[in-house]
Amino acid sequence: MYRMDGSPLDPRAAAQPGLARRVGGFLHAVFLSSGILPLVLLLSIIGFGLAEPRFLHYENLFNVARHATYLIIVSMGQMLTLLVRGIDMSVGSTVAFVSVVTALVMSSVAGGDPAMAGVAIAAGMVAGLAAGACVGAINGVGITIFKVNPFIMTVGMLSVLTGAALKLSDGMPVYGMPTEFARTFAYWAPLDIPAPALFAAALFGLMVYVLYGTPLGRRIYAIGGNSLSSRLAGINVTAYTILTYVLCSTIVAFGSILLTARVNTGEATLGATLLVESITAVVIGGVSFFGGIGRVGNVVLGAVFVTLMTNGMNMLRVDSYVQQIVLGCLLILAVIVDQFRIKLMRQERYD
Amino acid sequence: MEAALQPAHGAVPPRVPGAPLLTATNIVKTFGGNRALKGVSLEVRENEIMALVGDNGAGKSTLVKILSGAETHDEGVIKVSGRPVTLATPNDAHEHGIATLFQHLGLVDCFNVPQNVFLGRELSSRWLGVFPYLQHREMSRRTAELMKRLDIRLPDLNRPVSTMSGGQRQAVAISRLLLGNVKLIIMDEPMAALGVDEGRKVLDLIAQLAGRGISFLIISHNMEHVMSVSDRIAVLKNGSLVGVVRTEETTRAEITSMIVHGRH
Repeated sequence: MYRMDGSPLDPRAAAQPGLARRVGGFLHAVFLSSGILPLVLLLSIIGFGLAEPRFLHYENLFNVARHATYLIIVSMGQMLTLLVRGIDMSVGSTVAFVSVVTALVMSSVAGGDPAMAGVAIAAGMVAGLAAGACVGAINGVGITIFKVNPFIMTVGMLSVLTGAALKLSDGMPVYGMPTEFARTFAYWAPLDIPAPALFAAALFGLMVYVLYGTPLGRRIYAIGGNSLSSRLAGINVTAYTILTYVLCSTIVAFGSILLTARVNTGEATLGATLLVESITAVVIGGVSFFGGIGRVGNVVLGAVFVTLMTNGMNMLRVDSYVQQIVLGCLLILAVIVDQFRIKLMRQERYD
Repeated sequence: MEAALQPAHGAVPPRVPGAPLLTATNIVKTFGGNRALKGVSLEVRENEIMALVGDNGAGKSTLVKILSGAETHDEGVIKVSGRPVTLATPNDAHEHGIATLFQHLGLVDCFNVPQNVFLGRELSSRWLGVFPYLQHREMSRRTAELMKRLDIRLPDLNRPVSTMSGGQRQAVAISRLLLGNVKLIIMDEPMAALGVDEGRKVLDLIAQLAGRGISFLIISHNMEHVMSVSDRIAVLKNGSLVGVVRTEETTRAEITSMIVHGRH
């Protein structure tokens, strides 16, 4: 029995719950807010740590952090599309396309002249980010104005961008970028912190601010939570959805530029594994396929987890084909758990 | 029993319907060759709860959509407080103090109460005059104030509305309409998805708000609810108004007869 405001009438029911019940309640709350991420992260660290002691060495963990940077950035972009109940299957090919565009513009402006390095880097980066924004705008317009299913729209874009990247580069790596580009955006390490990690941290701060601190973030969550209610509340769902896809692809383009600096060439095959990895990281990080639910901090941890898995399996010399199988299984498991979690959330009532 | 709406403290203030608030005259609406409304005239007064009843296809939903700005009419005049208005969109209706609560309530399930109340009209400031930021505390404070003013008691405003009962969700949906300068709330089957107890509490809330100067136009199939909460009942049949009767001067049998036979 309960009073009108939900408090129990029976004082025994209000008594301090036992330890087991409290622990159960805590785990339940953690599961609802973060999915299986804390569990799998813990299990992977313990498992790989026991199987291969070098796994937990500082050097290896530093290496993991550096490698995770690019996946973290791409996953933060992917997260935005899932929040509005969409998906971007073209993130990997966007990375490849932006890499080629950036490298082509940078090398043609530089023209081998060291004096032009700064201008060339700026021109290449602007071209890369603009290319990414255009990809996002096309995806967003196709999905909202022409009502193409997000999966189909972005799979189509995946094919378009893959072909465009190969066509632009003739299937060859694009060389000729100023050496300052790689030196600044890949290997510069102020206070021993790699520059990509600093950029990722800055982007993380920006994401936290936008998603939790601004009306834009609130509306992104609202559209994913219930687009009809959002529309009735006066939110321009079409414009905000397009903007979300533009933001996603621009963030992915930024990740691509950093990755291009790392490999120091424009590559039409860059980022091939990022599609599955980013979706896995985002869904394991607790972002729901049903939209409107997910926290950017957990997405970062999800990306770290996926990188840890790859790193751990490499150290244990697991076959690369088997690694793909494991990642695919993880993605499927994460989606199953997401559905179960959403079901639990919907069932949770005061009574 | 689950946490629920509280009825008003003490007695509900006595209600005296005032001057005409919304007047619709000779409203005609045609879909293709089908005349959904054949010159319907209706008047809702200040502080009044008007029920709109009729069989399926009578034209209730069409009339409500026109009055809420979701649909435009072909002929006729709509006046708010005596002045002719054009209600081409829901925003037009809102600007004239008319808000509509549809069956799905217009809530975002994963949002808490303040987030839902301020959905689409979030309070924000600008840091250094450039960077916008949400005023979370102010929105929570105003939501708590609004709930207090309306005598709506919810166990925790910071929980997602998905964890709330049907009646609590109705209360949140109604309260978010009252954040602006709303004079008339149109409700389409407000108690359709509620249990008996929850429905009763929503009716109490409606009566309480009507006592505080809000008018209601309610579509309902539930004659018990209609008879218990409304001041007047308008009956539609086949796109025409059969009649408008004062609730205290009629019976369920008479209303049912009007619905079925189209005779007063």
